Amino acid sequence: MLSKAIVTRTIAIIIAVIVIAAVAGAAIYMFTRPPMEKPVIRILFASTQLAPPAEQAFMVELLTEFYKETGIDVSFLPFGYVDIANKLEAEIKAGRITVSLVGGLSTEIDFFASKGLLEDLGRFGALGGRTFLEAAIRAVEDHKKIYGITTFVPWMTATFVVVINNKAFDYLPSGLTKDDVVKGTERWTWDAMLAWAKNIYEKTGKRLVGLPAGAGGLLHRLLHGYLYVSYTGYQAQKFNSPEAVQMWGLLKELWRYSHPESTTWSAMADPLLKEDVWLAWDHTARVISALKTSPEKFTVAPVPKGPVGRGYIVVLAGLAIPKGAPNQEEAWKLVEFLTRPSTQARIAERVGFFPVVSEATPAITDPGVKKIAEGVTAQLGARDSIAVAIPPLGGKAGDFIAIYREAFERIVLKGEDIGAVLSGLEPKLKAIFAELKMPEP
Amino acid sequence: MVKIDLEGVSKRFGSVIAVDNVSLSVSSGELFVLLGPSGCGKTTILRIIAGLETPTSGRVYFDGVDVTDMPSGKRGVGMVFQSYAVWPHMKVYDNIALPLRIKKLPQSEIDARVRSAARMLNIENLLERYPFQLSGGEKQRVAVARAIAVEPRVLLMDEPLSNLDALLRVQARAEIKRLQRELKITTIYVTHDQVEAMALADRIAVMNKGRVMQVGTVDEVYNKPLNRFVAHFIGSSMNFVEGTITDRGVDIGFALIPYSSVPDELVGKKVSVGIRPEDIYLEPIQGGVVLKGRVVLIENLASEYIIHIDVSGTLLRAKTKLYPQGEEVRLYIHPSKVHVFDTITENRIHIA
Amino acid sequence: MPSPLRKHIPYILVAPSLAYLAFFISYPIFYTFSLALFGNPSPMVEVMTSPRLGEVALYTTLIIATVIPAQIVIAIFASLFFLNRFRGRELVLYLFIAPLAINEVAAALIWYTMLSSSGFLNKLLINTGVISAPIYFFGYEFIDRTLLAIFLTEVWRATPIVFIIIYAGMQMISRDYLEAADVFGLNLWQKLRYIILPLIKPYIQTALIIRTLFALQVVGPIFILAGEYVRVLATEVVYWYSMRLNPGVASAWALLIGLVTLLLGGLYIKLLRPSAGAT
Ligand SMILES: Nc1ncnc2c1ncn2[C@@H]1O[C@H](COP(=O)(O)OP(=O)(O)O)[C@@H](O)[C@H]1O
Ligand SMILES: [Mg+2]
Repeated sequence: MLSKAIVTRTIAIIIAVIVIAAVAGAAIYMFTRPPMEKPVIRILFASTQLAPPAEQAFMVELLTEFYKETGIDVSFLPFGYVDIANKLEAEIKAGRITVSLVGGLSTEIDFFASKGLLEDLGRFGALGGRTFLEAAIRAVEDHKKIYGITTFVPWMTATFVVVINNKAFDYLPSGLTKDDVVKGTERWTWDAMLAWAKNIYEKTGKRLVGLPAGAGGLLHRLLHGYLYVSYTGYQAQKFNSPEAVQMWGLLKELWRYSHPESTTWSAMADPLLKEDVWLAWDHTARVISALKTSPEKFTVAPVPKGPVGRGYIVVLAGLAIPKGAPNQEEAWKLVEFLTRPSTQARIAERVGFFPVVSEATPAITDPGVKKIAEGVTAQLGARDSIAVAIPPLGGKAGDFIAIYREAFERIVLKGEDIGAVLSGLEPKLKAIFAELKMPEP
Repeated sequence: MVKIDLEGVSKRFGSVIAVDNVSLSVSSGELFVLLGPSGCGKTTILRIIAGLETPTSGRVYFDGVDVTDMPSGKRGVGMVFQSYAVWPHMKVYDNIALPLRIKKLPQSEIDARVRSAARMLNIENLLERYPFQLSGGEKQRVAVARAIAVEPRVLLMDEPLSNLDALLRVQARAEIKRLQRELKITTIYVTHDQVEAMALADRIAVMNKGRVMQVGTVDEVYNKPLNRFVAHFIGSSMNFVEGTITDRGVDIGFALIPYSSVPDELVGKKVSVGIRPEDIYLEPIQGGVVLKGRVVLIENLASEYIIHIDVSGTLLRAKTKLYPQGEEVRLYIHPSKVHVFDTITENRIHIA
Repeated sequence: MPSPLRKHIPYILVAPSLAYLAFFISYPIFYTFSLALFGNPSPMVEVMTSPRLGEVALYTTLIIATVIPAQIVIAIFASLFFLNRFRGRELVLYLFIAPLAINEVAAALIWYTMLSSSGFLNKLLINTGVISAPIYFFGYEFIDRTLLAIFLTEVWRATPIVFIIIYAGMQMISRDYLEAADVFGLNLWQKLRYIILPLIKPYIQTALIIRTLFALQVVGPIFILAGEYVRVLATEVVYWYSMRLNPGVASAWALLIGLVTLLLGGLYIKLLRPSAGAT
């Protein structure tokens, strides 16, 4: 047993140590803290994007630089989409607006605009020293047509690309050149891709096309946002049409040259790196690690086109200022900072969202990231492209996706009759849009 | 019934030598007892014979056939474990019957054997019980019944009575003796209780520290212990006195035990002299040596007395039916009942 | 003299646990029930008439009915093996139970990497000239072999827990019981059948219940090894909850898992009632 005296003494020593440490800490802080300056301006930046901890940390880093440059102290607040919508609406109604800048997907901003929650950014004039990409400008123009105002400034983008192992260029089918593929010319079609895959299979005996058809894979995006749009011009409108039947025929054929393990892959980075596949379609974020690891092995290309055009999904994030927001001038300075080519390059390198200004890509130093950025730029800049956005279906999104995936499973994997499957599923698809009272995209 | 021979059997467990170069011969039909203090290697020898343990060196023979490497189950032994090892999830009947079923005996034969073994051990009324419903004594009988029902060539028992209370123990050992006489199975019985050993044994092997000290009939180990250890271990605890051999006998300081023919080479040897309490008399005997002493203490055991006597400073214990009259007593010892051991080797010195 | 307060003290004392049970156990269960049963159409009815039900029943049964018996058998033989004392026993024992420390998803990834067409096994076999083209275990076309891979992964990963339970049970068996069996001529198989198995019945029962409980909840490994094309009860719960955003149907599947678990648990208890004397 410890004697009472020893216990008391031990406690006394511990308390003394704590007190000394606290005093010393306070003293050190007093001497080393930054000197008080003129009152800083604080603004709130709410965003639905870059919420994961690592991405948030990067934003804090970036905004610290912004603070050093301008003296504007920005608090970055990641929010859910619904929360931001509610917050903005409540604040504007109450006339006490706290948020100066909002970051979100173009579809989300569309919703804010439709509720009349946004300022017209037209009055701030143009941002110099940067050229926004075709697809980004088009999205802003689309909003302008509907709401009559400039609702947002493009911020960053993500999309799906085709990643090619350079070895595959030795097996190009006749009539297709590497240049066609990289630049996304008229000849870079889904049929050409099929011919290429077939050629590779015949020469090597291997099925080297990779599709993310695993449990967490984004195969459904390929279906509704790429193939359907390229063949029918729409994501859902012509779900059951002769053009759609033609498209499914192509996919069935392409599947014959696709790696059988595709149904277990949720991201293509790994199969690309292991050279399980040579031609892979996937989201930029899901191939980036392969390109960062071995940039010299791969080429990034825009997606192929179909009979109607080069359908693709663009995920575009933009920056908007809420109606009546405080410190709007400062918010605009932040917009300028975030869309600056150098900032855009760093965003691409650190969080895998790609630039929306063409000057940014050359500024990217990581060769793998740069390659993807080039592919994204080529795709977003292509003239024949039909950019679509993922329809904002809320709680019905899962059902929407499931219809395309079921069609894939039954037509491609199980070999059921295309017409029968599409006819069977069409009413379900129509029901979703009917229920939401939305036009079919 | 078989004859069992152990030839130079040793068993080591790591650095412990549990059995040290033991050679034994157990005759057919004999009840042979391994006796010795706890930890002397009795169980290990039994397990080697049973085939549960392989000796580090040496051989085991059953009727001249080397069984050292024969699996236990093939040796035809029946064994009663110290813990009984009655299988807890089976009724008594099944405990006895299982070894027979394994042998694929016909059902009628199994039933007959189980019932006959049960009758012999007087447990017929317990056949439908589970072991947890039995007392220690009943479990012990079940274990014995199971062992004899297989009609073994050899019956091995490892301290089967040590978990019973004293009264039951006396009764049970008589039953075991009767059973063994009836069945005439070669039996090796392990115990640390010398009374039990003497009550049961045809022959006893007295063991110490892995070695066999002496093998013999009860009379032999009692009357002619080959060394001090055996003398001490068998019978009620012996009086030991230091002494020296002279040409006329053994000088124990306060007396001389006379011997007529002392070999010259033994003269002057230091010896331990052992005298059993029951060999010290309070009334004169023919040819006895007389000692004078003073009574210090009397233990009354009802049928007899243990009397502690001071003989010129040495304490001796005598066991007698006579109650001593007065403090001063005379003691009588016969030289033929005196055991003489070499002080250094502790081996018996034959002297007459 | 007992005061009225004293009479109520026991109720006051159990009140917190009752509140706890009500809030953390009863409420979620009833909530799940109501989610699963009520609605238009009732999710439970939807599930019971869904074309996926047959497929789910088939794969769930196939996996449970192969994995768990294999695990019990392996665990029993491994326990017998480890009861022997031999050199390096501890090391082998640790290696054998090491997969316990590995997360189920990580375990699935290990096996995926090992068995995939460009994985370790195929590389080894090709480099040593045993085969010339890779053997496929994964992908929709090879779903039967995928089931084998799921079997191997589950057995590898979860047998140690079964082993530990059964090994503990076997260590409880007094050595004398087994030695008595040796003396009376029981061979290894007979010892197993007449002595060991009856004595470890309660442990087998525990292992069965625990394993069935957990096997019915495996999701990650199946998604990794089979994509979404091997559909079992648990993957349906995840699929309907997080991919279809339909908590009702997810709850209905979850309820089915509960039901199946309850049913199998009852069955185990009935079939493996310990013999009267075995303690
Ligand atoms: N399995 C074993 N491992 C190690 N030592 C043992 C083992 N069995 C017995 N011994 C040792 O061998 C000696 C003899 O044991 P045992 O034969 O059981 O003695 P007894 O039955 O005479 O009391 C003891 O010292 C005991 O500790
Ligand atoms: Mg013993």
